[in-house]
Parts: sequence; structure tokens; C-alpha cells
Amino acid sequence: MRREIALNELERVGALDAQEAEFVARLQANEDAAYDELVRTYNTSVFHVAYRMLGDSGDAADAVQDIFVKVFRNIKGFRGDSSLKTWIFRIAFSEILNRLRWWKRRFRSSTVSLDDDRSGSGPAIHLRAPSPSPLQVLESREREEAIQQALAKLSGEHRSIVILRDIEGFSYNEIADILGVSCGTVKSRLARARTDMKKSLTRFLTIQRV
Amino acid sequence: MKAISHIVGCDAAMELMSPFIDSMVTTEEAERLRSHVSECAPCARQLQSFISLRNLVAGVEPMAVPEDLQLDTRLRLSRERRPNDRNRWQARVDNILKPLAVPAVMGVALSLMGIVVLFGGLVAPREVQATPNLDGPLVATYEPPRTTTPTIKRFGRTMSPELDQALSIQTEVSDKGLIVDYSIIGGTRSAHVDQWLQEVLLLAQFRPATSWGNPVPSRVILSFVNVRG
Repeated sequence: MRREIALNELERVGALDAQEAEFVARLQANEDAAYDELVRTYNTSVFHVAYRMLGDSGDAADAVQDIFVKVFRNIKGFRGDSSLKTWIFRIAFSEILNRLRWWKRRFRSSTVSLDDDRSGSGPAIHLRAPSPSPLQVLESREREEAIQQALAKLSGEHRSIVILRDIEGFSYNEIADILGVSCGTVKSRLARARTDMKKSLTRFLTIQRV
Repeated sequence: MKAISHIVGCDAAMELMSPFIDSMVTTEEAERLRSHVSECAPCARQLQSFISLRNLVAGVEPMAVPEDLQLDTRLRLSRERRPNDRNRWQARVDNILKPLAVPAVMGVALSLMGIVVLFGGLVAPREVQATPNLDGPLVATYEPPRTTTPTIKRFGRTMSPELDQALSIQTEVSDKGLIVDYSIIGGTRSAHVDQWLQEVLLLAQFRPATSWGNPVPSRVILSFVNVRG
């Protein structure tokens, strides 16, 4: 068996620090303030992955609410085998992948809706530059849509891994924990997904001639 | 080093690229890949494209979260967290009434204020006829007290105690617009409620009632209801 090591990252899966354990205890005690804090803390990141996976802000918002309800329903069974964030994302991806499977079964296109930005009713792109030029805005939007389209071409399993690794920054072990697969599967699926995405995004990639 | 580079072919190098950019290869594998790409231009470009792709995807702009999502999620959770059907139903009603509660409270309070002023105005003329020292105002020349915007906000935002029923208080407003006294005329009284009322009313600022353009003392009745959610 090959030895796999993380050269420059410390991976923490399984340990709950005292502060997080206390927070979980407050959630398990059904404390109002704890649930407010839970929503404040994880609402945005859960929405982001739901949007990237589902491609529609309305569907993502619905999914977010269902995910938090499932967190509440299952919190008493949380034993601290992983971090709270990992556990919440495990529930999130279970819910999101179920939705994708449900849509697929009903012959709904698995590709995402990209109408949001065009219609102006969808989520706006937040630009980091304080005063982006119209050209920068256009390029950013074009790049954004291309990435979303490339993600949409992937299978749900491959898309999950790219989002968790490259957008959310989870480690391989955490991704394996969230998706319930082995670390080797994460590695091979991620390689395959990246190879597929490169084909879709060739014109946005910076490659110097060697 | 040359010997190592020949161990890895292009296919094997391709397999190592994705984990390599995540630092998920062994030291030996990393060295083999580095050696290979230093001699193989196509693989070097492939490795660059992997790195560029990761940077491109990692730099994706976050989507704006819908404004109401956090509130909607909290409301959904609050309904779910109620232990039985009766409470869930009550939470739904509370959640529907919640946006209306604060304006409604203020509306009721201002209506009651008007009634008090009107009542005071109607009874006042007899006193006017009885004595030259006016204690009560004439209706025609009387302007009732009004809450100021900061006061309304303070009433609406201050953390309130758990109220089983609406709390009604009668306040004495000075000619400076400050509350100088109050009495509870409806609802449950407790030390906690008194303390909270004192905190809320201490900084409450009214535009004082006026009679013939001069500020005069007045009475205001306020009602508070608990807003759950």
C-alpha cells in the first residue's frame, strides 16, 4: 500500500475542540441563540456549495433550509467523530446529491440554469476590485459562466469533489468523510474531474510555452 | 536524477499531476514528476494547465446570498424546533404576525395616546371654567405628544422579557418630553418587567404635548407584545 502524505497541510478530521463541543452541546439542548449562531456561521458557505451544485439560487435557497432542518433533526446523534463543519457538509451533500438524483430520474436536465445573471434576477457577482471597469465586469462574468458551465458538465460526484476541494478548500480526508468515499477515490475522481474541466476551460487557462 | 526521470512515463506523470498540485503525493513521487516535466515539454504544459485550472476555479467569485435567506432559514428552523403541533402552529402565527407586530404596537399605542388626549381635552374645559390656572388643555389648541423616531426604534429593538400577555402601561410625560412616572395597567408585573421598563423608558423621548404652543405635561398609554421568532 502506498504511503500518502500531505506535504504542506495538516489535516484534522475527527477532533472536536472544547469550544466546538460546547457549541454542539448547546445545539443539542435546542438553545435558540445556538441555532441563530449556527445559521449565521454556516448559511453562506452552505448556500455557496448548494448554488454551485444546483446552479440555481432559488433551488439552492430551498436546499439550504432543508439542510439546516436536517442538521437540527440529527444533531442529537452527532458524536463528534468529525468536525461540526464536516458533519454539516456531509448532510448538505447528501441532500444536494439526492436532489440531483431526483431531478435526473424525472428527466430534468442536469445542466444548470445560467439565466440568473442574464436576467438580472439571480445572484450578482461580487467583484473584489473597488471600481471594476465595464470590461473587467464583462470578463469576470464570462469567466464565471464558463466555470459554472464546466462544473455543470461534470457528474454530481465529480462536481462535488471539485467544489469541495478547489472552491471550499477541504482536504482530501475531509472530502472523503463528507462524501463517504475513500481518500483514493477522492484523488482519482478529482484528477478525472480536473482533466474534464480543463477541456472546457482551455481558453481561460494560462499556459506558457516551454 | 536522470535514472529517476526515466522511471515515470507521460501517462504515469499525468496521473500524478492532480494530487501533486494538492501536495498529496509522496516525496519520491513529487521528485519523479519534477524530473519528468523538466525533460518533457508537453507534460510541463499539462502541469501548468492543472495549476492554472485550480487557480481559476479557486478564484471564482462568491455568489451573493439572497437577502432573506438567513431570516427564512431561522424561521423554518424555529417552526421545526417547536416540540409539538400546537407550538408549531403558534410559531407559524407568530412568524406571520412578526413583521406586523412592531408597527401594530406603535399604531395601537398612538391610537390610545389620541384617545387619552381627546378624553383629557373633552373634560378640560370644565376645569378651565372653574379656575384660571389651566391644568388641562383646550382641544382646539392642544397638540398631543408624539414619539420620536429614536424612541420608536428603541421600543422596537430593545430586548424584551418573555411576556405571557400584552403589557400596557400608562406613562406621565413631562413638558420636556421625558417620562417621569409610569404605572402598569395591564399585563403581568414582575421585577424583571419593571427593570426592563425602566431601561426602555429612561431614554424614551417624546415631543411633548403643547397647549397654545407651550409644552405641557401629558399622559401616554403604551402597549407591548412579545414578538417571537
